[in-house]
Amino acid sequence: MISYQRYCDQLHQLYDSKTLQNQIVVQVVRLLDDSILLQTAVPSTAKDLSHLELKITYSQVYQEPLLLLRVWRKDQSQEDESDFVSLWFPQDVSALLGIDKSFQLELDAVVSPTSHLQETWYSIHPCDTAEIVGDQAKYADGYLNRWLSVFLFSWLI
Amino acid sequence: MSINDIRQLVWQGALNVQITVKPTLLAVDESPKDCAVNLRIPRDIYLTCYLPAIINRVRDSLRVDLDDEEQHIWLEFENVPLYWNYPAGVLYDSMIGLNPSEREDKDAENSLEVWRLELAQGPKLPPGVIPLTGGLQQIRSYLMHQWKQACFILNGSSKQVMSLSMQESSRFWESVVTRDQENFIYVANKVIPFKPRFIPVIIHQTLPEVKLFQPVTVHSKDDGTRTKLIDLIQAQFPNLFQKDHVTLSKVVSNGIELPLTEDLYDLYNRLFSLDGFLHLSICLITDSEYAEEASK
Repeated sequence: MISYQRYCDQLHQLYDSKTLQNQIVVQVVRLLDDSILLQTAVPSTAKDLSHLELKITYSQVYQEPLLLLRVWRKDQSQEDESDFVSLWFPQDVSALLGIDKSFQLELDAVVSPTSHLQETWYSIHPCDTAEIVGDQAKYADGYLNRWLSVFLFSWLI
Repeated sequence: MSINDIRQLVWQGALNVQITVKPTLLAVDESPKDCAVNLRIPRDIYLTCYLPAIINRVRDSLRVDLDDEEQHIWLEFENVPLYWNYPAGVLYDSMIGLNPSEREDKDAENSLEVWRLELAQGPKLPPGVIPLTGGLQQIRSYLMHQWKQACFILNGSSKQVMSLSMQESSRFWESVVTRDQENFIYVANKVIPFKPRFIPVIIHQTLPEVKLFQPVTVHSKDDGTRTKLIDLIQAQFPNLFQKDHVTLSKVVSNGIELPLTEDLYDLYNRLFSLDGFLHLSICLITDSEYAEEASK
């Protein structure tokens, strides 16, 4: 568990450290107030896909970082060679992206705490996050980095 | 009236719904009225549970294939897409706040109140609508996902839901679909504590646009007194609900206009929905209600 303020501090440190920007699969990184938006390449097994849209944000309910994900694929209806892409919601996204089944990845309605609008994302359910990341005091300063290595880098890189 | 009596009335709440198809999806010579589907559905259920049956009824009147995997299906009310992930009654309460004066007139003309919805289909879903890719299993999974959240808010942990046996989980889902209140309450009581950490609340505001609020809501305030509905509402919407002012809005849950002085956790215990949340809709008052308030 991580407090909102500590999460925000570590999120800005993460952005400044360029840990994300330096990953070869990461194409775009954008820092918002309390979240980071990412565009990344897709795992090599998913060749029909275009890219992934990811959001690192904070769950006020669980008081944990929360990973949101959307899949963009090459638009199959286009017969020319233009780079048309469209949002796609495959049924078994874990298998498609090679994400371990131990992560509970499901389609979810996420309400933005700023716009109060409902958005549709796949989300990794955060209820066991503290047990997975390690809740001991010695990990508190690096909590977000440890979370990132488990919840994102373990399957993306 | 006991809490069980109130829960039973809430559980039995139902809506008359008529679903027509967008004219652009209909085959030539078919009119929306000819293939209208009329249903009486519980307020406390997801509308999408009825989609397979609705689709079967209208399939032969369409010029499109509703099974096309490249297309999405959703429901609309007055061209506003409905988020199926909230109970039908919550959507109804929020949406009839769109034009209350106009609706009041229409209601006077018709003895039977019918909520008229449209079935829509397209290659791109309206923003915020969850695509249905996994049928009833997806809806069941979403329901349990919501209960894990509600459980965490109430108890500080999702363990009470995570530790339900397979049999209990199945029994819970079946209770929603078959409208078996006894089994529903049996499982819900395993999750809902006597004194919660926080109260699971979702507030729906329709005007000027559909917005949702999930405030962190304490059971008791710093001074030890219990949170009332007015505490939550004034903190969340200070401009809409000002002290000592005639308000243009009201708070509705399960079709009931709630007195703002009510204890919030008491309201939760009486009115929580199938997903473990207390859903509150901010509705505009009608012209006649305003005139009555202003004359006090």
